[in-house]
Parts: sequence; C-alpha cells; structure tokens
Amino acid sequence: MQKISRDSLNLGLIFTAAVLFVTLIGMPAVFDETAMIFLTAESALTLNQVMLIGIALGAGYAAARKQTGADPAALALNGAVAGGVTGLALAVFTALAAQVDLRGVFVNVSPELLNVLSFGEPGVAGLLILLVGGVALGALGALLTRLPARVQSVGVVTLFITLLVGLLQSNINSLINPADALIVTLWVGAGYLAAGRYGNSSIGRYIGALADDRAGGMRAPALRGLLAGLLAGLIVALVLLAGGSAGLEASLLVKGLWVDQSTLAGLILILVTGGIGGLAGMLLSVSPATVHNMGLAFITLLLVLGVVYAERKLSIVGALIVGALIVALQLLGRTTSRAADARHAALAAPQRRRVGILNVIVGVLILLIVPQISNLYITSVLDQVGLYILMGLGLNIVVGYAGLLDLGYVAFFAIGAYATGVMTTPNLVTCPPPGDNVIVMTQANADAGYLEDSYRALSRESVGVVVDTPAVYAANVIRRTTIVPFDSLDAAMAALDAGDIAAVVGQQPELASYLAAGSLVTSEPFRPNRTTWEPPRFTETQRAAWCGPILPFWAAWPLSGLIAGIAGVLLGIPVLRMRGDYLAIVTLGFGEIIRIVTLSDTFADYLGGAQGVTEIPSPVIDLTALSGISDAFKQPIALSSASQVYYLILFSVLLIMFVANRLSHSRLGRSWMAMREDEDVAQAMGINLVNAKLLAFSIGATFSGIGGAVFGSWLHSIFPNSFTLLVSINVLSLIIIGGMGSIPGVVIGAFALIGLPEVLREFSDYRMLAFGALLVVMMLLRPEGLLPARPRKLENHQDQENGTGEAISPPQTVQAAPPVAEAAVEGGN
Amino acid sequence: MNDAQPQPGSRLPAFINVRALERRWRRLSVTDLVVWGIGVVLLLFVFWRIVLTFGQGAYTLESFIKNVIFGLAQGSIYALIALGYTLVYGILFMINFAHGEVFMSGTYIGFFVIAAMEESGFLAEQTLLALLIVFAVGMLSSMAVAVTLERIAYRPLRKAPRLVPLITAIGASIFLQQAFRGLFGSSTKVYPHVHLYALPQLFPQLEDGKGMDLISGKYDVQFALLGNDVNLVVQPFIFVIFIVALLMMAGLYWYVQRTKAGKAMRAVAEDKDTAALMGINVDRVIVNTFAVGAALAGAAGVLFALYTYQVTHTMGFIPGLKAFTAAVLGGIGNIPGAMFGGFALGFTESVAPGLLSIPHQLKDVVAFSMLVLILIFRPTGIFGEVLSEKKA
Repeated sequence: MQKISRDSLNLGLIFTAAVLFVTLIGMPAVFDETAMIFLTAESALTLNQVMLIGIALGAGYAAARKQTGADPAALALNGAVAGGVTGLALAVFTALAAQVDLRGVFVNVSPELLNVLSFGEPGVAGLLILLVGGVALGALGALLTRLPARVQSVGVVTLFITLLVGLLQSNINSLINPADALIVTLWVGAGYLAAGRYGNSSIGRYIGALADDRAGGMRAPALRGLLAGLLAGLIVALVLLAGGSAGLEASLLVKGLWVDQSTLAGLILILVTGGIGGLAGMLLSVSPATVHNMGLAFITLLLVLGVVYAERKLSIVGALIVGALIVALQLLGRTTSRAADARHAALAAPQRRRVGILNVIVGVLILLIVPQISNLYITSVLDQVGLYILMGLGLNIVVGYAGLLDLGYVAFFAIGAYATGVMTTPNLVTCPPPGDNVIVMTQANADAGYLEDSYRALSRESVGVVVDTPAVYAANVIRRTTIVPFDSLDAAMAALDAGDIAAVVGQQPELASYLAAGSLVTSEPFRPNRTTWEPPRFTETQRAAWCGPILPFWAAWPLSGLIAGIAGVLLGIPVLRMRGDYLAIVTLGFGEIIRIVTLSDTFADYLGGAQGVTEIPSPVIDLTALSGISDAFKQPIALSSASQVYYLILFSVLLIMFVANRLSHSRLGRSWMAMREDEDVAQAMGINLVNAKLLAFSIGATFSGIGGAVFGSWLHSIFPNSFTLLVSINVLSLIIIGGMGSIPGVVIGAFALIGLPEVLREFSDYRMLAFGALLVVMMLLRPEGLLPARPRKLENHQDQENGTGEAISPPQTVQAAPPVAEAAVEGGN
Repeated sequence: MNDAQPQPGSRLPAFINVRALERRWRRLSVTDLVVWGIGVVLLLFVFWRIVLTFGQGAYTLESFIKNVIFGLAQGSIYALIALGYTLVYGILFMINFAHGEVFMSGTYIGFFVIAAMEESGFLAEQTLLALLIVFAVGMLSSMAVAVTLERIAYRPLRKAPRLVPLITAIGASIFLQQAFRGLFGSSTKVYPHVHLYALPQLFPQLEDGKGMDLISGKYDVQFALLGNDVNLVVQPFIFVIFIVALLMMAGLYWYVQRTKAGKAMRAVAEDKDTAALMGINVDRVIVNTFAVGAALAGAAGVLFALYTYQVTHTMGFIPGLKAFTAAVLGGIGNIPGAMFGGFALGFTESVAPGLLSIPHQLKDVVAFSMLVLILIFRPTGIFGEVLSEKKA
C-alpha cells in the first residue's frame, strides 16, 4: 500500500514558498541570461533552468529523506507529490500573474519573467511543462536517495563544481591552454609515480642505491622524482620540437621557456622546469593527506581550465569531461591520500619538517605564478580577497583568539588607509589650509608642470588665476576649482586693485620671500613689478619642499600599521571592563565614529570629507639610490596594476599569516585563549588581562591597518563610504564561516564570502541576499565553520609531546582526528 | 573586574552601595584610573564646550526648545524599538540584530495598505479607522516576520555559543533587507500625507475651522519664556508620537508585570530550566517575547513613516542601530532601561550638537561618545542589567 505522507505535502509547500520567493524577486528572468552549458551552438542550459530543476529535484529528495520505508515506489510517489506541488504552484502563479498585473507591488513580475517561467511555451503547454516536470523531477530526486551515500556525496560535489565551472566559464576560459595543463600534469605525475608507487621497482632500487638512502630517507624518492620529471621534460621538449613551430604554438608554457630557439638554453630550461615539476610530484607523494589532496585538486583545476580553454563555450561533452575529472579527483584522492599520509608518517621528524618547508615553498611559487597566467579580472578579485584575508587574520586575533567581539573592525582598516593616504598624497596636510589664495602663472610655466603644484598648493575652494591659458582653465574646472583667467598681467593687477582677487604671485625677486617661507601661497595682496614681470621658475627642491608627500609609501606603510595599532589601544582602554555585548556595541559605535569623522566637513581639510582622499600615488620601488646593483634594476617601478599590487598583498598576507601563526602558539596566544574561555579563571592563573586585551586589540588593528594602507594605494582613492559597517560584518562573517581561531579558515572564508560573490558579478542584484541567506544557513548547519581550529585540548597535548618546532607539519595524531569529533568539541563550547 | 555590578537582592541602587564603593576603592588599579581619567577628560570637554557655546551667546532658548521637542519624537521611536532588543536580550541573551528589519517590514507592508486606502478614498473618509488599520497591519506584519525569524533562524540555535545566533541575526538582517528590495524594488516609497483633524472646538482658527491637523499640521507658536520671545513651528504629531509611545510602554509594563503571560516571561528570563519545570512552555514564551517586541517596532515604524513620509528597504538600519545603542545605554535586558535609554539618546542627539557647538553632521559621534562615556562609569548601562546571578 503506497501512501502519501503529510510530510511530503508540507515539504512541497515549503519548496513552493521558496520557488515563489525567488520568482517574485525576479531571479528566473535574470538567471535566464546566464548560459551554463551549451547544448548546441545557440541554445544553452541556463542558470534559471538549473535552478528550477534543482528545486524540483530537491523537493523530491527532501520528501524521500523524510520517509522511513525504502520501497522505491513509495519514495517516488512521495517525491513526485512534493515536486508536483511545487510545480503546480509555480504553474498556477504563472497563469494568475498573466491575468492580473502584480507589478504595482511586486516590481519584478514582468512579462519576460512569466515567459521564462513557462520555458517560452505560451498558454497551457508551458504550465504543463511545469507540472509534469515537477512530478517527474520530484520522483527522480526521491529515487536518488536510494543510491549509496558515497555515490551521492561524490555526485553532489561533482555536480556542484561542474555547474560552478559552467557559471564561471566566461571568466576562466582563457587562463590555461590544454597543452600546458597536460604538460604540467605529465611532469608532476611522472615525479609522483616515480617517487611513490614504483619506488620499489628494480629501476627504483637501482636509483635508490645511487643515493644514500638511510632509514626514512628522502633522497632516493627525491632523486627518482627529479629524474622522472627531467625525463618527462625531455619527452615534452622532443615531442613539441618535432612538431616544429606548430608544436611550440600549442603550448604557451614551452614557448615561453624556449627562450631562443637556436640555442640549448631553451631546452635546458624546459628540462629544469620538468625537473621541478617532478620534484613537486615527489613531494606530493609523501605529503600529509590535506596537502596531498590540495595538490591533486590543483592539478585537476589545471586540467579543468584546459578543457574550458579548449571549448571556449562549455558544451555538454566538455561538461562531461569536467565532471569525469572531478569524479576522478575524488575517487583517486581518497585512496592515494592515505598512502601518501602513511609515507609521510613513516618519515623521520627532520624529514617531515623538510617536506613541510618544501611544500610551503611550492605553494608560494604557485601563488607567485598566479597573476602571470590569470587575467586582470581574476587578479583583482584575488587582490580583494587578499585584503580581506589580512583583515580576517587581524580580527581572528581579536575575536577568534581573545574572544573580544568587535563589530567596528573596519575602523582600523580605514585608519590605515587614511594614514597612508594622507601621508603619501601631496595635496592634503602638507599643503596650506584653504583661503582666498591666488596664483598667476603663464602658459609656459603651466606647460612646464608647475601648474600641478600650484593646484596642490591651493585648496579646492581657492581661486586660481592663470594668464592666457584656456586649456588649463578647462582642466581646472574639472577639478572643481573656481578660477578666474586673465589674458595679461595688467588685467590681473587691475582685478587685484579692484579687490576682486586676493593676490597675484609672479616674478622671481618678489617671490623670494614666500619661497623662503616654504610656501607659494599667500592671502596677502602681492604686487609684482609689472614691467619686469616674469613667470616664476622653481627648482626641483623647491617644488618638493613646497607641497610634496610627507613620506613615501614604504615608510608610510609600517607607520600606518603602527597608527592603527595605537588606535586599537585607544579603543581598547575604555572598553577594558566591558563584557561581550557591550563591547560589541561600543566597537560598532567606534567604527561608525571613524566613518562619520572622515565624512564630516569639519575634518575635510585633512581627510577630504565626502570626496575622500584622491590621487594617492602607487608605491614605487626605486632602487636608484642603491649602489652596487646593475643598472637594469635601477628603473623605478610603480606598483599600479592589479598584478603588481598582488605581490604586495601576497607578501603582506604571508608575513602576517606567519606572525599570526607564531602568535597563536606563543605564550601570549595561549593567554588569549585562556581569556576567551574564562576571564576570571585566566586572571586567577596569573594572566594580565589588561595587557592581553590591549595587545589583542592593537595587534589585530595593526594587521588591518597594514591592509588598509595597501588598499588605499591600490585604488588610488579612498572614500568614507568604503568603510561601512558592512565591511566589519563581512570580515566577522568570513572568520566565523571559515572557522573561528583557524588561519586556514580565514583563507577559505575569504574566498567563499568575498571571492565567490565577486566572481559571480552577473547576479550582483542578489549578492547580498545570498550572503545573508548563506550566513543563516551556515550557522544552522555548520556553526563551527568550514575549517574549524583544532580543539585546543589536542593542541596542548601536542605541545607537551613534541616540544617546539612542529608548527609547520602538525603530527598525525591531530591530523587524524575525525571531523565529527572536532565539530562536537567546537560546537559544545 | 565586575565589581560595578549591583549586589543581587540589594534594595539600594548600585551607586550608593557603600560596600561596593569601599571595595572598589581598595582594589583601585592603574587601569581604573586611566579609564576614569578618560571619562573625566570627556566630561570636562563637554563642560568646556557648553561654557564656550553660552559664552558666544549663539545658543538661544528657542533652539533649545525646538531640539527638545524634536528629541521627544526621536526618543519615542528609539525607545519603542529598543524595547524589542531588550525584551529578546533579557530572555535569550542574544542581540536580535534583525530587529531593525522587523521594524522596516511592518512599515513597508503598512505602506501598501495605506496606499491602497488612499487610492480608494477610504483614508480621506475614515482617517482614524484607516490609521488604526494601518497600525494593526504594521504591527501584525512585524510580528509575523519576527515569529518566522525566531522559528527558522533562532530556535535551532538556542544552545549554541553566543556568537552563532549573533551571526545568524546579522545574516537574517541582510536577508530581510535584500528580500524586501527584491520583492518591492529599491526605490523609495512615499507615504501619503495623512490629515487627521481634531478638536475643532478648541482650535477654531486652524485649517478653516476643521480643527488641528494632528498628523501633518505645522503651526506657528509664539510665547514668552524667561524674558525671551520664543517663535516655534510646532508639529502636533510629535506629541502624538510621544503619547502613543507612552501608552504602548505602559501597556507593555502592564503586560509584563500584571498578566500571567508577563509573569511567565519574567520567569523564563530568570531561569529557563526552572521555568520549564514549573510548567511554563518556554518556546511559547519566547515566541510571545518576539511578538511583543515586534508589535512595538511595527507601531514605531508606522509612526516613523507618518513622520518622515518615506519607506525604503534600508530604513530599519539606522534606527535599529540607534535603538540598540539606546538599549545598551539603559542596561540591556532591562525594560525601564530601554525606555530611558531611548529618550536619553533621542534628546542627546538633537540637543547636544547645538549645545556643544558641534556640527550637526557629527550627531552620531556625540551619541556614541555618550554611550562610551556612560559605559566607562557604568559598564552595564545606566540601570544595570537585570540578570540573575548565574548569568551575570
């Protein structure tokens, strides 16, 4: 007897509510414009269709999960009911909305939306598609519950990633060509196989005998990996050379390495790169499971990118290949990672340490290469993610380690950005305050570049007078400066006599007194001798002294961090005695205060007010002053593009990650954690709460300030409204989604919360909506975060057992702790 | 560190608790001195600015009265919203960050009703009835949103660490805001100008003998006070807001102190487990709490919209933040504290910038600085938290 459960109907109604909600906010119409997988050259599976299919499948799946019995027919029936109810509701809505105009209230219910909902079929046909589709997909979804759990999880991950690839294809289809992806895979794979699986073969033993292979030694596998990589490199080089110029064109990587086709240098370079690839493969084969899987995932990513590159528009075949790669990754990763893990565990401690260091080096190398192979868009997204990682690392100290809830964290980011902006930009503090100042200058002088300086000297409200320079006049109108042009000095002097302008600045002898004072600007009437009037000529030193930046970026950068740190202490002192929620509101208020102060007119002379600080110069690497280096490096390099700033951000992230990691294992870090768990007990144990709290605030603030400084010089302009409460909330959310108190968690959280929405720009309308929903769902399903910090108990245990120096490669006992146990411990506190 | 807490069971307010003072004196540390020093410096700064302002003679009684009246309206709205924060905090110890959006949703849905009634002419014919309907709709929709929120987002997290529900609430806040934007568009909706004429006998000279327009009217008032001629433009609606707010607070006080449901609420706030053992349905009490807080917020929202004439999906954010500040100011979890905090914040925000000769742009800075100042001296708000010993 097959029975329709009440749960199925309820679930159908819940999914109905969901589907009606997404419909009313107009999602289907927007999503219909995003093609994911091209079935033919013209028609494609759109995101909208994927979403509707997903909802129907999900309804059926959820209904079947509620069933206790395992009878397929009953499951299918219940699934069909849930899916059918959803489909029916959507059909009824479509039919109704076609009759009644809902746009007065629900602005997004447009005819296009209805057209999209009925899959372009007018009338009853479209409604039938919805209903029948709902029933069929619901039943299908229900039957999916009968698959083994392992298959289900692999399937879901595969489907998700494949669809994500489809979604991102327009951004990622020009990154890596298939030949390059294959070559790198070949090199790494050769090294991996040579070092790992075939290590005991006769050839392996022979090579092993060449190397001094002491107990648990790494030299033999390393040598095998190197040789295999070299061999693979040689094969690749030979194959491509045999293919001639066509072969070289196929692989941009090899073409790039093949410096000069007439010499051996190119060949050697290819061999060396192959060798490095082989070594990396060897390294993977003895790495801990996490690193091993990350390596496999990286290789898979390369191959997937290669497929997308080859396809340009992802076809159904391409999607299947991508799916197959991801399935292979999951199946392969599961078995091989255990073997690698075992090999890693068998190594002696110093060697494990070496593997860890080498892994970090390989990781950094990959990170260094990324902006070279990715496009500008991806790089700037990475830059943004990097800045959020910086902030996340800082807030992680305050909230994750020390347990002080800070809702105004963006303030320190703003302080860092403004500190750098004000110190490195030549038009704010260094220049005199506004007044009715006037500069008269000829066209010749303006052309010589002095006009720029004059205008930096003058504030925005000032009146500049430029003789006979209509072009400059136009340029200055754009700068929002009121300006009165005069054709001649006589006219300007007449205006001065009439009192229309305050001063005229001109000829050299008369200027001397003002220049001596370090300023060209005066509010007193200044009367040059008309007959001998000459345009002013300034020396470079005078120009620099007059209105230059206070400090170059490289000096301002650490100073910004310091200033933010001091601000952290200043905030910390009054809130020392406040408990959690009071702290939250006061810090939130502090964030708002900083934003309002930067926005206000009162401080606009120093901070730019609502217009913000503009024209912040890029950091310049200028080695001209250094002696003993070749002239090739003496060219000043301005770090202005996204890929140049990337290195700056990467450097700061790595540095701060290192510092944060060391801190968390330090005495201070342990006292923070003690304080987080229980302030009173911590105090009783002799921890100085005042010091610990202030240090947490100031170190967290410093990290953020360092990020803010890079932010300002990257974007060249900062506005008060870049530092809203939402940024603080974003940062807090990312450390909580990533896993509180966990450094890898911060990275994952930043990518998930900042990187992903940034890449999915097409639906910018729904970004915040999805963000909010994600926060709620995440907290309901996995409150401990994606990569939770290891339970402190185990960590303390590790410290006792192994002493110091084990930070880079954590020992196995901890690694092997099942995630469920971690979740339980984390969730329980 | 928590020696500023009032002694449980003590009848006296904490600030004249001699024993606590004595103990604090004995345990005075450098930190305390520095913190108090900052407080004193801030106070001196305030004092100096006031003296400066009066010294310049720029400050008139007229602007003071104007600001006080404006502060009355603002304070009433803040207090009504703050009660929602404080009620929930008192029971669940969580900051319902989405409360500002609860406030917004009632107002928004109320807008569609009042717009429809304006279209049909019902608003002009039966203004009072129409307004009551709008209030009812606003309160009910706020309640619906809050109760749904509690059911979906907060109930499963009742045993979770404190940060988890906070993040959920932040997420819910963003989600609600964006959902309203998606559903109803991002443009600002204009609330109709409502004219409710009253008391033609008392004010025959106003509005062609129809009486005083309680909602949209603005009237010139002149009188002499302390030898100054005061010229004001008074909006009767400000007093309506104040009176409605007072009535609602009185109603809330009666509900919490005198009804059985209120008693259950207090019991749950005291100790959930014991309350459950006494046969109280804790879940239902919590739902009640959310509903009551939301009803107050919904009413505040309609008042706010009738006063400002506009509704947007972001309108809940700033009042929500301010009300949260107000709740903390008074001592979060403390009902009279929230009322007091709301009015205190409203007054400070409107009176202080003029009094201290600080640009009006910086009024939020003044408000937050006052919060810091008060928390320095009283780390748990003016009235202190009403917490049982176990939770404090």
